[in-house]
Amino acid sequence: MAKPMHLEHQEAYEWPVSVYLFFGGFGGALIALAFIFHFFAATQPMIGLSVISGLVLFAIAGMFLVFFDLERPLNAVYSLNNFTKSGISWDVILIVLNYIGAILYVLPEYPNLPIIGGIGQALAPFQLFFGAIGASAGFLFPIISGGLLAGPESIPLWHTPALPLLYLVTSFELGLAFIGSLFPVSGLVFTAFTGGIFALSLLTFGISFAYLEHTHNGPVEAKEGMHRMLKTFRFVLLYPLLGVLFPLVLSAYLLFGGAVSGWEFPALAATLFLGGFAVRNCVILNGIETYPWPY
Amino acid sequence: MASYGMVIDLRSCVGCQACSAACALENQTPYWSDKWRTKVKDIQTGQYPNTGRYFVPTICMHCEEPACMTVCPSKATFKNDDGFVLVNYDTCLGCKACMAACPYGARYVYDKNDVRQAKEVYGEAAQHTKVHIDKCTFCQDRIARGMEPACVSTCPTISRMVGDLDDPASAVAKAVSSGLAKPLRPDLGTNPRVYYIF
Repeated sequence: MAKPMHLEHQEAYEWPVSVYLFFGGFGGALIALAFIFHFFAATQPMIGLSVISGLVLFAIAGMFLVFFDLERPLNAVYSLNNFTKSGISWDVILIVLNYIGAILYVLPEYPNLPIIGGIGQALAPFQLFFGAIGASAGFLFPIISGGLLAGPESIPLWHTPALPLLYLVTSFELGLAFIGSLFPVSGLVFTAFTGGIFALSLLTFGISFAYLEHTHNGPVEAKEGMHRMLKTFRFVLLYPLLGVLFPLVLSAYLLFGGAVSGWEFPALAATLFLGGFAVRNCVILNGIETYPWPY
Repeated sequence: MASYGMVIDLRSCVGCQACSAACALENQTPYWSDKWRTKVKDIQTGQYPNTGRYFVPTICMHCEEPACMTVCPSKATFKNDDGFVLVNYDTCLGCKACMAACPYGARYVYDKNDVRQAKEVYGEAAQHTKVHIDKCTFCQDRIARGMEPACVSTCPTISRMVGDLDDPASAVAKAVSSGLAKPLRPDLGTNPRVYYIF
């Protein structure tokens, strides 16, 4: 039975890569945000918990899922030793720098722990230096990993500079909401957090719109992929509605004097979490479509 | 060095899949997992009463600018002196970046189940003993011996032709230079070396 013309899905990347992109960016953003808060006299629990959460998420993302997604992971060692200029190698180098920088940065925050406390005390003079390394790697990770997807011209749905930017901004937006929901903030700090989320929501909205324009005017794969995503109820509910519009409206409401009842940051974190994962997963799954024959 | 290319005439392809079978036997592709280096797609277009149907044999295009080679982190995908895009099975990570980047869907994973099955089927003669990303090699070993690729020599309707694109006298070069044969998706900038006559 002949099949009608349709896009052909390639069995290449599945959910582990989406999780890697999502938690990698989220974890990196948490470490970078903790480092930024350091300059605004953030408390030890805020720095410590943010960095440790970031490290745990990064570990899930950077080590386990991607490592086990490789068919022959041990060959990666050969690759890293011999071809350090490849994009994936840079990604791994950033992950390693992020680990080392973040661990050495957070150790001085726990001077009372046995053994580790002593090491932390010795590292204390260099804390900001290590923090800068971890934060820079955490900041660059979503850009580099998004850039890896955006690079090949042969996948039009991914081939746009909007993708790395979208990954960067949504990671930091989620990181801010996550930290805001972990720690009770009030007064000027609350306004700063809300303002940050509002500004990042606006950026997310703008980048998403640019991405939509790109796909609408792009090659048939990009257009078809985006149409397919927009016809999926789960995607529309999770990303445009819960992941973009809801945080924008709620943060604007809070910023302009709306009543605060304590559920706002957890709600923002939850919706941004769902939206952030949905956009990465759907873009990954709908990108690997080929339409090589004449149309 | 010759610059080998292929021309596939869709006007005469009958979709018999003889090319797929010949390739599978020659190159031990995992047909048991429905993975093929070349497969004939059965395409139906239009709506009743203006319908059309045609067969498109798919294969690695051995592009001049292969997207798969650019993204390979271990340089396992490379071009040899004849311009064939090949995979070094020893250094392939199996990261699937090449599969995602290839716009023609020409690659697949020769996974551990396929390797085990290949050892059972072919025994000592098994060609694929490691997990890797697999694709068409243009039967480069046959070309080196002066033979045509298995899919070309098997095609009962002579829909496939192979030859030197740099030799103006070859049938392949004539079909391409006359504009009769066209590449798929030239807009993607990969410069395929497999052409189709529609």
